[in-house]
Amino acid sequence: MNHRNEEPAGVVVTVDPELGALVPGFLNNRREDLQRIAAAMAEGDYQSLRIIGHNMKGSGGAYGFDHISELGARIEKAALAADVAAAAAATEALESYLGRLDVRYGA
Amino acid sequence: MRGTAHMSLPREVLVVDDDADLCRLLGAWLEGAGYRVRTVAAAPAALAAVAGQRPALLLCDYRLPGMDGLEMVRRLQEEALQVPVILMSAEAGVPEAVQAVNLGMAAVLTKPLQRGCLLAEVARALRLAAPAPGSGGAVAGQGLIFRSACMSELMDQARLVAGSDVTVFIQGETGTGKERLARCIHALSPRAAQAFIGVNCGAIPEQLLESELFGHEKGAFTGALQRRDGLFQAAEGGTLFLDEIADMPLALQVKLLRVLQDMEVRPVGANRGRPVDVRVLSATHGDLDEAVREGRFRADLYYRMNVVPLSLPPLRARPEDIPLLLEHYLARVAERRGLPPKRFAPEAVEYFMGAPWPGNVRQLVNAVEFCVALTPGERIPLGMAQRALRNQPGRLQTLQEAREHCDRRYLAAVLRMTDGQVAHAARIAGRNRTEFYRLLHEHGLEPARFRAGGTALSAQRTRGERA
Repeated sequence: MNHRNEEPAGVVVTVDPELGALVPGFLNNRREDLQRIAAAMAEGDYQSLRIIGHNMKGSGGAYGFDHISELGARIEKAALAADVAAAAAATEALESYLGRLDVRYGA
Repeated sequence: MRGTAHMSLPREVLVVDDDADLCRLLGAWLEGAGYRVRTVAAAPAALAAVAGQRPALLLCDYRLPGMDGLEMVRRLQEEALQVPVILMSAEAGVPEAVQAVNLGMAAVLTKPLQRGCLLAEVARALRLAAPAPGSGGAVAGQGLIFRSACMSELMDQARLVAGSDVTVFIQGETGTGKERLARCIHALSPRAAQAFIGVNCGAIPEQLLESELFGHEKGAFTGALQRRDGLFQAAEGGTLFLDEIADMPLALQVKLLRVLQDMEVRPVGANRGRPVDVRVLSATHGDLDEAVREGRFRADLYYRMNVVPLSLPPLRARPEDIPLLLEHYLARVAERRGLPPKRFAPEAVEYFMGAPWPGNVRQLVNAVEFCVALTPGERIPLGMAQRALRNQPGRLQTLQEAREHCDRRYLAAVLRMTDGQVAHAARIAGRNRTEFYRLLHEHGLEPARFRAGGTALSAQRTRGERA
């Protein structure tokens, strides 16, 4: 198993039960972001990449996923610097995080 | 607090963000807190939405595709669409924050947002903003502006007394809006469709006041060439507002008492009274109890007038209304000048909120005018606000101003009484015609304007002169 600092295995995140109806859609959209990021990187479209990262940064923490905000900030920063390697690393970390995520609803 | 704003429809927040996930989340938070929510993804759609149906608050992202949030707020202001705005930004750089403050935004929130913080800012922004049309303090378009508990309470009382013909006595310092309150009561009463006539009892000499109030018969005195109705008759079916009642001469107080008891008016020179149906409201800035103790005001009339006393709080007792009043008068001045409204810096608003305001709302209106006239930019700084109050003595006019004011009122009253016949007016005033003409000219009074008009015009003028 491949351990990395920013993606500890089996991440349990507890979110506000009132957001129960919204969280699955939000996470699903992040999975779709993975496809869009791949497409943007293939075309060298850093503008789209930056917006995807920016929005992730803005909304992740609000939904209760601070780590998604952090990764979004990394993607935005990489896009601004046109740093393909950093963008790829952050995207990989996002994919891994989404895969390990274990969402619980509670106070 | 018993403000009406809380009982009305939920207030609408317009969310402007191109991130659909964030819009959904904000929608859930805000609806959970009892607001209605609309969301749009870009600035042009937001501008259209605001122009269509004005939300109570705009919650808008700084970075939007095409036109950014700051630019959008500038556009709103250009089009004079006044909406409080909270800016959300993931960067929260100092320059953006400074611009946001200069544009008069309610708050700048840093993303990622936190529910508690966001809801607190939304509530604060709505509290500081003027109430939405029809939902807040403004009553029946009569222009009393407030959100303070003391004024809400007063308005509740006003609504209660409006329904009946009970005699209401309004006490309040100068400039607190006694006539406005009287108009509110009239507007809320079953008499609303009939006339509201205001008269300042302290502004008119005793002999003229009697004829002004009750009318006179032809030939009742020198210069009374025609029979003329008084303000009581002109207010038939409606409301007569007797301002500065404490200044009414004692001799006339007896006559007024009789009118109030019998609801019959006897014009000067008439043998018989004529029935009238008029509701009487009265007011004074002074202490009527003291006037009674000193024998300047008849106790029996006092009890007759003071059936329901309403006390208008001075402005310094309701500082929370000051932001609303400032915004209202800034908008009014701007409308008159045909320019976008200026704004007070937050420190200036705070300074005003702590000022003593001896001249009350009237003084505040003057201060706003002063600041708008002398501020070149869009934002009125603290220093200008301080200057505005330093340059205003507030309550007192100079002796010269007071004399001129008094002369003008006297001349206008004489002209009214003589239907603009200068020869008669001059004789009553004890001046020769040439000199009388000169006086009229000095005070900008045009005798012809007093000829055609009946009592409605004269009442209009009485009000105008006091404003």
